[in-house]
Amino acid sequence: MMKHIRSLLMCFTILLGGLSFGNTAEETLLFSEFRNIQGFVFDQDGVPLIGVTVAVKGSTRGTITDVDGSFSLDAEEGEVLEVRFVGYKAIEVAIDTRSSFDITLEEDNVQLGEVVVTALGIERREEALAYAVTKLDGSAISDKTESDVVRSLNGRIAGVNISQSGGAAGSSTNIVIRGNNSATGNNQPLFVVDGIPFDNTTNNSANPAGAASTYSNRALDLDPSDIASISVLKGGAAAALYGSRASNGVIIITTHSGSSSQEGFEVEVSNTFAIENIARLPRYQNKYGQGNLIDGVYTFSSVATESWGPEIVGDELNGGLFLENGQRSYVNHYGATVPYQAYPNNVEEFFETGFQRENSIRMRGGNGTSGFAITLSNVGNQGFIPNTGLNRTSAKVAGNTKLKNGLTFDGSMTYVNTAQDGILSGGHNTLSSINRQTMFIPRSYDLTGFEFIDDVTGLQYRYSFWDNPRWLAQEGPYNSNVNRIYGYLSAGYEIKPWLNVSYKLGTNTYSDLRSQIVPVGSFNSPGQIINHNIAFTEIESNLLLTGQKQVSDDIHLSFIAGQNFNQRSTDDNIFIGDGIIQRGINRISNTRTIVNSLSALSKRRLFGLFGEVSMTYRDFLFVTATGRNDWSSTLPQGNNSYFYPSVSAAVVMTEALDIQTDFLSYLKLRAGFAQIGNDASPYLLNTVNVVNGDAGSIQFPFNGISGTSIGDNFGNANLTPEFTNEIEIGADIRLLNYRLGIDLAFYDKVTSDQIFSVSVPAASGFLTKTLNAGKISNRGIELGIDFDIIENKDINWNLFVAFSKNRSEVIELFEGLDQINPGFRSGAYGNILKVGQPYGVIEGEVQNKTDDGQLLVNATTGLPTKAPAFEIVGDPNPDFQMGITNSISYKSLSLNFLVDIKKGGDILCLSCGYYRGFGLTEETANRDRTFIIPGVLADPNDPTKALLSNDGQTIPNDIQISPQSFWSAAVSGSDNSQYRFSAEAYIFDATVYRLRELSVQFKFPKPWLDRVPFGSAAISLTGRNLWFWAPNVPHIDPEVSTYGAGNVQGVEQYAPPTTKNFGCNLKFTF
Amino acid sequence: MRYISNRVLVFVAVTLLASCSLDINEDPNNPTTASEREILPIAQVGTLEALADYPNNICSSVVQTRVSNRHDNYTLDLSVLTNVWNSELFSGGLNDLETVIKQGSENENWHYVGIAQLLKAYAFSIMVDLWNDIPYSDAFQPDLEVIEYDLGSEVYNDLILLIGDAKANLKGASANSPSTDDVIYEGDLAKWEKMANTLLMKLYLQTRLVDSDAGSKIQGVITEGGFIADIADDFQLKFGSSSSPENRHPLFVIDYVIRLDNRISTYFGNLLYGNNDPRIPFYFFNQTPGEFIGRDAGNPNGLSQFEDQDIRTFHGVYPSGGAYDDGQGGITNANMGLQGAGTFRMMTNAQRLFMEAEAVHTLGVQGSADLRTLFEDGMREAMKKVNELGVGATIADEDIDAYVNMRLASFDQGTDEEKLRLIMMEKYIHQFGNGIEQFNDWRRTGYPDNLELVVEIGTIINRFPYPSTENPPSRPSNNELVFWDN
Repeated sequence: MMKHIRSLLMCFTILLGGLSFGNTAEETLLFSEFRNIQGFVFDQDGVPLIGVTVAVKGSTRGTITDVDGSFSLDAEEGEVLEVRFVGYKAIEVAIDTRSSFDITLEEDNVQLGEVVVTALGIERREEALAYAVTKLDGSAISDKTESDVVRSLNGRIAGVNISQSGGAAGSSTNIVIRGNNSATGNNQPLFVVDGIPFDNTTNNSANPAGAASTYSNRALDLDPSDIASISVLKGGAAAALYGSRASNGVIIITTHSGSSSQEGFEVEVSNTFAIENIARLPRYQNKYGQGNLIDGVYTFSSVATESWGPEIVGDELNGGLFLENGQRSYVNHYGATVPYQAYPNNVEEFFETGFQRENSIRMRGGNGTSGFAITLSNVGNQGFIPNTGLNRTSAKVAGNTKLKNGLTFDGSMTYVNTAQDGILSGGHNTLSSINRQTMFIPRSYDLTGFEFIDDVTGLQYRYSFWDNPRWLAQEGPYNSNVNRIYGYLSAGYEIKPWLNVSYKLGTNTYSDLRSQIVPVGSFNSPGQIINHNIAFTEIESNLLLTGQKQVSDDIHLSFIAGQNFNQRSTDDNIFIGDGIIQRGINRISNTRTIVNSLSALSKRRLFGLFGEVSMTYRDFLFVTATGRNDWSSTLPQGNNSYFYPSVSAAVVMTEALDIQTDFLSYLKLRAGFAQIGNDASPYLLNTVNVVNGDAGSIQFPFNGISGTSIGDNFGNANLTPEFTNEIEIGADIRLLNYRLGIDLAFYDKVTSDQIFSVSVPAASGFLTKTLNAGKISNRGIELGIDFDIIENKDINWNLFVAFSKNRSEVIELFEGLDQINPGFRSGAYGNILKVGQPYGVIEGEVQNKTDDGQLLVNATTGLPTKAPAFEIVGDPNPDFQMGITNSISYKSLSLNFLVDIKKGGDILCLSCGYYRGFGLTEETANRDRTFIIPGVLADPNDPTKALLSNDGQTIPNDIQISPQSFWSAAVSGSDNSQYRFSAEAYIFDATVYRLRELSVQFKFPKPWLDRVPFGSAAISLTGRNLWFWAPNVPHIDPEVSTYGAGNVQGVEQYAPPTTKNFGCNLKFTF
Repeated sequence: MRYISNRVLVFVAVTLLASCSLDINEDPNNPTTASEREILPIAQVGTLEALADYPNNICSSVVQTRVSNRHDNYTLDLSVLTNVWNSELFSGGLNDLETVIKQGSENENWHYVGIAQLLKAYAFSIMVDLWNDIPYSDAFQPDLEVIEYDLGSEVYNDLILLIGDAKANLKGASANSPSTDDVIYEGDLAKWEKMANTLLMKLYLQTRLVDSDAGSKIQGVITEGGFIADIADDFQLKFGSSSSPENRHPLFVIDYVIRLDNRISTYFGNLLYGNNDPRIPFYFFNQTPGEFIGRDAGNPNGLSQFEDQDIRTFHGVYPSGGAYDDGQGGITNANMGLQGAGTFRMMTNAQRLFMEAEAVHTLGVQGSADLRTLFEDGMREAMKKVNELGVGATIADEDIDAYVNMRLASFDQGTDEEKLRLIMMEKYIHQFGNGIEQFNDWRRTGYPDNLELVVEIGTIINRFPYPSTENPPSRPSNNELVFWDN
């Protein structure tokens, strides 16, 4: 019914509008009889719309609706009101004799013609684009109980792969678009905030394999609530104007700014509160306690790290167990007699319920020529690990104005303080990792019930040689304090109506002051305080000339010419203070010796000149060509200039062939080629030497004598830039009267002549050599489906599917070498690049097998034998990813849920190896039996060969081994009772189905707010990561990567568990 | 207005371009050049420490002077060994030595060249002893795409020539000469010459089973003379006691700082206690007063390394720079004894005497003294080496005499084989702390011939495996023996 009325109204308006053309302007002026007209503008739900432009057609009279959606202006009968608002269909309303008008705007569901922000902040009509850009509205990520912008993108954009280092507050997130291009370099996309690059480095203070993996990536400094929109440029054609760093894609973030076209003042207040809990804990067994199998007896030991002790329900007294009041007991580490029993929740109880709160106030306003915006926000996250958290406060001021002489100015400045309280976490080289200690606590150990600290000395009570995690959490904090300022000033001027010039100068600078404490007594340590201070500054300057011209009736040309200057500098200093003197004074001055272990300055500059020409033919053919030349400081002088072009075209077939039907509403085909050049990292041209470095375990100066050693990387004075070539074809299909949209893209990109340091045989005198070599290809398909399943006044149901599949392949490395270890492997396992294989396959130690795949078993021990060479055991790259978002609304109530599927991809779960080897998890609980490893006996003299019987046959293994041998040594495939060495035993298919997000929102209908000062109010409940199902991975969430952001993926080792959270958001505008 | 704005734009552009040069790619953090004087000390320490640490640790476990949790059952951590080969040797100390040789030749700093050549010869000979075939003639040429391996025997031959070269360089003029930057002999070139000649003897003796001319070659060296002839001449690396920067003997760090993963083998303990060896309180530090608590090699059972870390016996002051055992016991800590200022002894005078004794006895060469004297002097020099430590306590002369006379009595009565056994066993005991030489002698002569494995698992190590990262086309097999090992 309403729909009919609206259509009638529209017809009426248009009719009147047409009639009004009958009058000449002069007549209108002469005989005008202005009177005051008032009215309201609502959306379909009756919610008042603020900031809607209401103008009298053909005049300069106009206004903007107020906070209650009201407007008032002077007009006369017969004139026509034009009512326009972004996201809604514009309508015209004829002025009749009424003095009050209630106007309803219909949401513009046809997304075509929508404006997207592309390179350099240039807004383009979506239909004119010949490449894939995905736009996300700020509402998709703000108010969502997720303080990390990057994590909230998960599952929403086809072609984007996101993983995390775990659930610890503020820990890093890895994001890769369309696969890894660079062999050893950065593969994270470029972040650009309001036109200025936003550094997203993850600065590690220690090797994450060694100690801590909760370091943040610096996109964490972004406040999700201040984000107006995000555009993701996935391909090279889209990104060429950003230059080299766009080769990994660009994430363009536009923050809220003041609107000069909007009059009035708006205040928005948003509060979110959420609780977070661990998403998944291992399935522990509670049948057997602390101890080891010794001579066939499960024997208790109060210092064992394993849970291979006596049965909890039983009466075996061994290894120091005795009866105390009829209860089996033992004397624990601090001399107390405690019962021997299971503590099924000993791990869970160590962790706490985390809390998260976000408060933000946003004010914005404008007067028609100037606008401003102020945003204040604070995020507090108390992590689920004791004494961890994140506190981020940001303040932004932005404004813009247009002077009478035509100059426009625009500027913004944001200050952010991000304070992270972290922990020592992850890694295997240290025993000071909270996760390792907690998750692997023996099943009979009362972690939260027992004492952990000697109040007098401050030393810990450890249950074995491992550090007590409660003590570590209290005594060994890691803090990072980031102060960041970023902003820009820009000026623009219209030289001619068809020619504009603008200049933007921006900076983005932060300092990160970190301190990490290894407390006295931690794993026999005399205590250590590490200060890591990082200062980063980026300066970006862009001069742009933009123009456009209608050449003929059919052809429209536009062009951009620009000059770019970029400078990045980092000052990175690490001071290590050894030997804490006075407990509790966690300053480096309180240590015995202080060594400056890193003092690295780095600076790079780049000049670029670029241009773009676009041609539009009759609104259905769009052709764009770009070109850019860069001069980089990091390439050899005199040979530091490089050029790279792109060209793309799009045809709207429905227009061109005039084939629009009810079924096929719109069809655009597009194709593009782009090349992106990339420079080197600074200082790779020469071999650099090391003053007073290490000589094995000895550090210089040695007995007072200093020494300089030749560096390990052989510099290359002939480096040339690396290039990525990308071809993309795509289609944008709208069916069923625009209700079903299909966006399809295929791409094929190859990065060649990569600049990387490859490992070279050390006999050359060097470990690595910088060179141009290698070719890595990524090809894939991206599919977006946007389907309005139900669309009517009350009920709307939209289904959005983002599907992507990427195949990477290392095509070549460099001559004579088919495999490199690009520096991100650790001992017995790691990611490698191998010709013919996908990027970063996981290689590790494996078990000896016969040619037909039977395990070769040691004829004495009955355990598998370790093969002499490493082999590829898995591929961390997922087969495909799919995010399915359902948005259902009924009147003021809306429900949104995002299900996310990652199919395939492997994860090397080293923790799983330890869970089993230590007898902690339930699969190890069946202990009244023996095991026989299926396989054949190995030749004792050469375990790579089978032992043959006299008649030349292999001999099946029939050696029985104990459950502890089976789970700790046998499965790990090693001769020497080490737990983790066989990578093939702990590689799992990481397929995971996840309910990424579930949210319900209720917008208070306008009438409800009549008596309160709010212009609008909404409440929403959001849950994130509420449920997941990983059918093939035991005990952990396969989406973690211990090594956080970076090229090491698919390896889990004591990563903090991921979290699920549930929260509530309240939002008001005044 | 337009005119002005254009000028402003041009001005801004020109200013930006002019003020921001692209010539900023010189590393502000690290030098790209270094003099021989700056390189030599870290080249020396880097090369020798690489051998003194992990390879020494493995070898000591194989010959059962010490029990380390991992290698006494003959399993090796390939990744650590890879690091030794890659980072510590080839791209570490050895490349630094090579740079001194190349750059020193250009700068005519011939004394630097000579010293670096001698260290290179020593290090490469040990690497042949451990790995057999190694990259040598193609080494240190980063522009080569493939680096071929050389046969161990050929490397040995070339090292003999290299030593000759080095001796000539030491004798000639030199633009600059080292002093304290030579952390081994402080620029005393005469001592370097003695080291050179002793090294020649060692290389020839090492190959005596596969080289029928070894006897005459050794005779030639002995006739020429000029060996390490006093403990003051000993070729050794003295560590320091500073913990930051870390200057301490790696074994001290294990036994007195980390205090895990290391014990004395009961075989070695029994050997010394059985002979009532006066060196015991210098060699061993019993945390439990008066009680030697070691571990049978290869024994996976017994107390864990955390359970007995406060009671077991650790290395004493010789060689790691730990504590002299005054019988009072005590839990080891970083402030004990020489606080880590121990010594890695590559070639000592006692060792030279034992080498000569072996050559005289097995090859019939004419030594600098008769066989019995060489044997006796070797033992007395070995005792002197202990008394040189400077920890207050010394071995009394009568204790030395008693021990020496006991061994001489056996020697005088022994068959030829028994005489060889006694020489090799005394050398073995003396070389406590240098497992590499002990491992060499054990493989070559079979002594000590009564090592026992409690649990036999794994294959006995006769040679080190190649690092996992090494994959050149000519990579030799991991199963071959070292060429001199017959």
